[in-house]
This record gives sequence, C-alpha cells and structure tokens, in this order.
Amino acid sequence: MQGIFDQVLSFGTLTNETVQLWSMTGLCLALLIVIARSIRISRNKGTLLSETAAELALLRQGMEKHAMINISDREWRMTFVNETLTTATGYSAEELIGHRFTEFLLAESSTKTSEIHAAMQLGMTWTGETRVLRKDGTSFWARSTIMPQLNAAGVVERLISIRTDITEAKKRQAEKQSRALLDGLPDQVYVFDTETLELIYLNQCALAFQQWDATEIAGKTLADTTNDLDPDDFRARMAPLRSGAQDMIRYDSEIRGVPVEIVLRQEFGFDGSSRFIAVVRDISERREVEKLKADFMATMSHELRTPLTSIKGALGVVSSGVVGQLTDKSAGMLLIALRNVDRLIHLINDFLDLEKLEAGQMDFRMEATDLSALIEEAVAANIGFGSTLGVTFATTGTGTPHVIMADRDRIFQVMTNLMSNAAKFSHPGGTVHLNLSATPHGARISIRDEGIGIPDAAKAYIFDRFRQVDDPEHRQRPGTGLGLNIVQSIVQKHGGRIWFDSAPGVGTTFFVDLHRDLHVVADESTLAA
Amino acid sequence: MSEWPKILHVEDDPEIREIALIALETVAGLSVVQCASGFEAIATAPSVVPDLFLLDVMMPSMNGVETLVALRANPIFANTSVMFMTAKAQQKEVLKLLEMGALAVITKPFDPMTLGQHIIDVWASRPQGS
Repeated sequence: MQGIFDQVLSFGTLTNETVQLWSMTGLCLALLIVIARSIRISRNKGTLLSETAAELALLRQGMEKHAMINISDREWRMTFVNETLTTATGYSAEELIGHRFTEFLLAESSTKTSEIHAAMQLGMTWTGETRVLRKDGTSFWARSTIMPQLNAAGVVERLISIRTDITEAKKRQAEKQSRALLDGLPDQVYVFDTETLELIYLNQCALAFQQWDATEIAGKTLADTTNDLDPDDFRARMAPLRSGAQDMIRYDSEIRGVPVEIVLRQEFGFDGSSRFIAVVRDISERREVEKLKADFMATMSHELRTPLTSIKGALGVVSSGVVGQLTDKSAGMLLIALRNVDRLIHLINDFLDLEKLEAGQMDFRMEATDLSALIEEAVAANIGFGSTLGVTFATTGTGTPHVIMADRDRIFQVMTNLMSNAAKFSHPGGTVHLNLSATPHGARISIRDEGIGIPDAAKAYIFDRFRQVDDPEHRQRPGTGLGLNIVQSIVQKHGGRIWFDSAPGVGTTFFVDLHRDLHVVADESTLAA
Repeated sequence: MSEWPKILHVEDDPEIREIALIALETVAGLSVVQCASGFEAIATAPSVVPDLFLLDVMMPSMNGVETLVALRANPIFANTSVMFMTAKAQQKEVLKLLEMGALAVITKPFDPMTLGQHIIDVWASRPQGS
C-alpha cells in the first residue's frame, strides 16, 4: 500500500500540498483503491495524468469540507491542520501547529490516549469517539480515525487524524435514552431554559397533567404550565441554583389545587447549554397520611388518658383515706402506684409533644409575655415538688416586668421542666437559683442548682431523646428522657438558644436566651394565626 | 354551702363518673347530679336547675360542645356557667372552649383530691353580673 501512496502522491500536480493530499488518503481506504485502480487504468491506457489529479483535488475538497484533518510528526506534534479543524476548535492554525493534539485538544482520559499510542506503535489504524476541546473551554464529540505512517524501519513517521463532529447525534441518542427513562416516571418532569424559561421537554406524566401532546410544547414557557407563576419571582428564587450556591432547590407548592413537592436542579447539555429540570411530585397522598397520623395521635391521646383518669382517680381517692382507713403498707403501695401513673401520664404528654413538634403541629401562640410574672408563677407551681425533695427556689431579677413575645404556656413548660430537673439533681436542703436578666435582644433566664452536676461524658448527649445519664446517682432520679429534648425544641421554635454549664459535684446552670420581638422561626406555619 | 354551685356533670365513662362523684361530693362536699350523655342532660337539667354545667368534651353521638349548644337553647340556661373536661389537651381546642365562654377547661387525668377545690376556686372568682 505504501508504494501506491507514494505513486499517488508523486502524480500530484500540487506538490506543495502533497502533505494535505496524503492526509486525505488515510480516511477513505476504499476510495484509494478506486483511485489506485484508476491510476492503473490510466497507466495501462496511457490517458492523461491530469485527469487523476483533478479527481484527487475534488476528493480533497470534499474531504476538507467534511472532516477535521490534522497531521502530526513522529513526536506527535501537529504539522498541519485544515480549516474545518481550526473553525471547529476556534484556534488558528498558528496556535495549533507545533502542539500535541492529545495535550492540547483532547479532553480525554489518559487511558484513551495510551490506547491510541499503542495502536500507532503497532502501525494500526485507531477509530473511536473522542471529546475535543474548543478554545473557549467548551467541547464537542468527534468520531476519529487516526492512522500512522511507518517508515521502512517500522517506526512511526507521521500520523494523520480525521475527525467528524458527532455531538448532535450523540446528544440525540443520549436524550432519547434519558427521555425514555423519564417518560416511565410517575412524577411530572419539566425541562426548560434557565433564562427564557422556554419549555424544552415534558415527560409523559407532565404532558398528561397539562393535557398537551408533545408537539404543543414548542413556543410555550413555564408560565403556561401553571396560573400562578411570576417569571421574575421564579428567576429570583432560582438564583442560588444558577450561581451554583445550591445543587438543588426543593419546596412544596400547589399546582391547580393539587399539593405538590417540586425539586429543581440545573443541568448542562452536551453543548454546554444550561437548563432547569423540575420534578413535580403529587403529595396529596402524603398529606392525607399526615392528616391521618395527626388524627390518630389525637385519638390515642384521648384513648390513653381516659383509662388513666380512672386509675389515677381511683388510686388518689383510696390513698387519701376518704373511703376508708388504710394500713401503712397499703398506703405505701398505693403511693408507688400513684407515682408511676403520674410518670406514665408524663411520658404520654412528652411523647405527644414530641410528635407535635416533629410534625410542626405544635401550636405556638406568640403574645406579649411578662417573664418576671411567668417565673414567679413557675416557682409557685413547683414549690410543692421542690419541698418533697427538700429543695427551695430563689429568684432574682423578677422584681420588674420583663415583657417579650413568646408562647406563655410553652415557656412555662420549659421553666417547669428545667426547674424540676434542677430540683431532682439537687441535694436535699439545696437551693435552685433562678435569675432573669436583660440582653441586647431580649432576655436571659438562668436556672442554677448546687447538685450533682452532669458528668463530662454525658454533656454531648444531654439534649438527645431517651438519653439519660447512666450512673447510679442519676438513675435514682428517673425521668422520661424526653424533657430536655422538648425544652430545646420549644426554645428553638422561639428562635432562642439553650445551653448549660456544669461541673460534677458543684452543680449545673441552664441558660435560656429569648428574643424580645417575634423572631422568624424556621417553619412559619407552626405559628398560629 | 349555698354559695357553692350545684353541678350537673355529664360524662359518658361510668368509671370516671364514679370517681368524679367521690371527688366532688365526698372530698369537696359539692352537690352533684350526673348524666351519662348530652341527651340525658337536656332531659334532666330543667328539673335540676344547676348553677354549673361540667361537661366532658369527647362523648359519642353528642359531644360536650353540642350538648352546651342544646342546653343554651333553653332560656333558663342561657347564662348558666359552664366548665369543660377534656382528655384532648390540644391548646387550640382549649382556647376554642374558653372562647365559647367556659370558666375553665379541666384536663384529664384530673387529681380527684384537688378537683372539687379547683372548681370552687374558679367558681368563686368568676366574672359576676352576666
């Protein structure tokens, strides 16, 4: 074959472009055979050599238009690039000559590069798909044929590469695949331009919801899919996605009366164009389940409390002695039963509170609340409990009203919980000190005991659910293991902060910071109207 | 004694009725008439003429709120004081009941030793003149 090449080249009249001519032969071996035959024929018949040259020139022109061609030397440095290649990549010939294609234009893994190298060393033609980088950083897919020219010693003398852009075909194929996948989804999928919001693609589910067929998408924008979409508002909302600050935006909304969850992502096409993909999921079923759960919790609350009312009532009446005198032993037994009924009631209350907090169903009624009065009331309510443990409460800073926006009952719950904890972990005869002070943004309440303290190892999980300090001293003072978790949730729903200082054997101080004004709570829907 | 209210207690659970009767009559010394349903209360009330309705909220077929509405339809009871008892301690629920004019909403489980005194205290501090 080599001989034929040489012959072909030597017939060429455009001697200064011989290299280019040589380059074209690489692509179309079949054509070469035709040419070779024609040369033989021309020899045989002695017809004009110029006819062959003209044919070759035509062939070259066709190749030039069709494909990107470059020739490299034995060092793999480009010595020739055609115009199609420079146009496609955005580089000038001068910028490319002297560089290695693999280093300069190939956006490929090194494995593919070494695969090409190996083929060249063996004198074999390599054909495959490669991604080519443009000067502007974008890229396109090319089907490439790379062929080595070996010298007499079998060493690579030159390489010729011929490439055609297959981005479109590849894109179509990839889109066909992903769309087939998306069409099978039970969720609605909308693909649209990030800038114009023009619809690019809707999956079957979305088309069915909109009652459109695929041909009707053309010319429509996202605003056509729902009545209440303000394009500017929407673009502003999507800004963090476009800037890359967020990978995903997720929110609940309503489309034509159907509650939906919308997940948006930004995607880049093969050609580098950016678009949004919105997946819209019908969540009416989930909402229904949430409602059922809430109803169930309310019913359970009632069903559990009713028998407890009888148990607690009966035990209370009997142990009081109003229906007959008891022996000391019976009275002691009844007190154990009563204490545990109270514990069970407490646990149910805590559990229901947690459920409500979690589901965002706990109602917060934010109103002007005087913390001084609230703390004094909490003390009055807990004196009884404190006295059973021999613990007294002392307050400071509650002499003058200190009004903030808060849910009175919930903060009362927080205080009661922290105070009973402080009393529980105090030594008999101890005092729990409560202090109220002003902060630049509101108020700080501290609850300090002189009790057994929190072991260092337990400090990290003291607010966790069902986690109680596991040592004999703490186990003597049972609780539900939910109290502090609820307290923390309530404080956080107020936009406030809770933390503590503790030293084993010295005591613990809990601090609660609350804002004076209504603070924006993460989930506004939890605020009662 | 005369300044203490005569109570009409409506509660569907017979055991809770029994305990409440001891708590109110035996422990607190109050005068109590009990009914097992709203219907029974509507039939009984005119002959009792109580000073205070003590109504359970969650009752089958006619709940506490419906019972109150039905009782109020009778002009004799248009201004009779009312307290509710509920096991459904939802804040929203409690507020709704207070907005209906209830003097108090007592949550279950109640303490039988303090229930009567609590009712007496609330009764004594009720707004007068209505």
